[in-house]
Amino acid sequence: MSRHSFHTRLLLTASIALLAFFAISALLLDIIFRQTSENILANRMQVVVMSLIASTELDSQGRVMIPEVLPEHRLERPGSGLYAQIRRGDGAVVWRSPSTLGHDIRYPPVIMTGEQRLVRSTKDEEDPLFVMSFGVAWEGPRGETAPFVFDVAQSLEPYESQLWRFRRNLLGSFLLLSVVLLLVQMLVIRWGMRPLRQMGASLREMQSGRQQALTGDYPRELAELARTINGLVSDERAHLDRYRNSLADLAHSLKTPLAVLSTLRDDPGMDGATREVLNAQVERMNAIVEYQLRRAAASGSGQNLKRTPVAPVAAKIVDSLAKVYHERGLRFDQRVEPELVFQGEEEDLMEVIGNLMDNACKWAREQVVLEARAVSGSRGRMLEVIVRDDGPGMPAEAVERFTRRGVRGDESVEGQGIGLAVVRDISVMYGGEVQVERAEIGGAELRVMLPAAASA
Amino acid sequence: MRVLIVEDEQALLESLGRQFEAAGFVVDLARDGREALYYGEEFPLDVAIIDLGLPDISGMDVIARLRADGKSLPILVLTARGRWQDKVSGLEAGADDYLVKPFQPEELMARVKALVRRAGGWSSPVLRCPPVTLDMATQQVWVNDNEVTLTTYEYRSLEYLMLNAGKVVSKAELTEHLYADDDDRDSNVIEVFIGRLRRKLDPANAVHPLETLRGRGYRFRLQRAA
Repeated sequence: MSRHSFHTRLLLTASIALLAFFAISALLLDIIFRQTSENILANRMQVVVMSLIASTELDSQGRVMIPEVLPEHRLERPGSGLYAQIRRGDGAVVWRSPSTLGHDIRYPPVIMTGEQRLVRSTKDEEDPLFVMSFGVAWEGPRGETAPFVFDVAQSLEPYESQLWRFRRNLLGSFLLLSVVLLLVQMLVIRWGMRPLRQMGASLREMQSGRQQALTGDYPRELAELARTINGLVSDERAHLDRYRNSLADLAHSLKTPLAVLSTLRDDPGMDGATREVLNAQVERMNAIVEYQLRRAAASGSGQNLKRTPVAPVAAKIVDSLAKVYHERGLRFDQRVEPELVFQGEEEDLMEVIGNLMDNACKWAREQVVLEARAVSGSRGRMLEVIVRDDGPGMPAEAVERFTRRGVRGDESVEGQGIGLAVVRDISVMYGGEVQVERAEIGGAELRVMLPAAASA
Repeated sequence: MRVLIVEDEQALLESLGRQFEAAGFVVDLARDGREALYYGEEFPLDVAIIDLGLPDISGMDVIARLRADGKSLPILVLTARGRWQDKVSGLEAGADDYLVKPFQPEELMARVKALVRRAGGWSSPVLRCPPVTLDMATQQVWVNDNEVTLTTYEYRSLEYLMLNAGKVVSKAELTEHLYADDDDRDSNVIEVFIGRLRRKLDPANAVHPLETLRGRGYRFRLQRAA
């Protein structure tokens, strides 16, 4: 159940409630309608019975006298649905209405004088009837009391058909109403859920780095949540910035003393052996500091929300290196797809491209190629950075160190290797990978995969 | 050659100053951005080494201001932060090279000399103007294949003139690039150096490597080797 969407849940429960409500209402309405109809029918039959009694007289011989014209003309037409008879107290039928002609109506047993009873019965063994019996006593010509029972039978057929018509109408209108209400409810839920869907879309935008915070006008309940999420994100960002700044400060404060130590080597008061030890240790401390600082800075990336266009970063790095390696007269060849966007920090992309290119410049004879393109792999859209040079190629040991899986801890890295180790670490941090091949132009070809963002 | 070193760490500043002096540079030292700008505006520097992490004005701003004032001297940036972002923004601000702390002093020296050479249009540390050859790395000078022994100031004068080969260098300019303070130095001293250099480089008085342009200065007139 928990896997069902909010939307489905609301729709499902509300629909069930709605249908149950309609079913119970229909049932109750049906019962009420039937009772009311029966009451009306009984009242009408009573009127017939009463008028029949009123128009009947006993003659001087004590015989029942019925007028030529009956009070209800339906009693005169055979098979009209309304029937009547008069019985004596002993059960002998003294009169039957003309409508009874040719029909066999089952009447209940006689009842006592003063009693009135309504029962269900049948006509011709199958057609349902209501029979109302009324017990009366008349004074005979000799002053004796003579009991009689007046029976009026009413066919239920018109009543039944009315009931079915009512049921059909009820069902039809309720079904129509249900459909309409369900549709309305769906719209209401959809409308009610819109802020949630908006928030989801906004979060996705944040994740892909197109947005820095949740935007949009949310209802009170969600506004609180949105504020909290925004707060968390900006705290996280501030924390990351603080972390980086303090790392940078640490780097600065450690490295200047290291620089002082390394210039001490030329102190004339120092003997050769001491100088060597000093050199080696300074070098080592520096390598450790450098490596750990960069690794920590890179691991700060975490869940990345930033988007960095690749081309400007590549251009900056190439311009910088062209300046630094001016004397070597290197030829830089940039082949960067213009719309390419890296899903991550600009700083990290600079480290990757900067270190790859710097490494290539060191080995190159005269040409360095920087290529960046979008590729779609098993892990979705990726950005592939390829740097190749025309130098002698990377030594096997360096290749092995560069492509080794995982992130190493405190292992010391040779000065030259730091840059590439950082490239590998950043790539791993972003869920990418690195690869070394032999370039067609002669030297090494280093490939790094990084996550790409959809271009703006 | 006149170098400005800007670094807020006193020990490092002094140590670098000694090394550059030993290598034949005229050295100006600055501990903060304001001093750096003062030296940059007031003295004819050949090269500057600027630490990015300065207490008052950031190294980046110092570079940007010098460039804005039209100073085209080569600048090497020292930075403790080895991140590419810092390197790139340093170079974008107008620096020509960078070095991450800690560094090998030899590396710094080599880079600075390379920058100076590059500014003069030389790409190798060995300056060849046949028959004269000057090696900036070893500070040796040859005429044809014979090594010529020069005193420190003679060497510095020749190095400066050869770096600017083909250009006219005034006496004042030469003085400023040879001596730290510019109090009235007898201009005859320069004439004496030039005279000695002429005798040592061209004993036969045949090639005339150093030209005197009356009232304007001197010019190293031998063609650079291709």
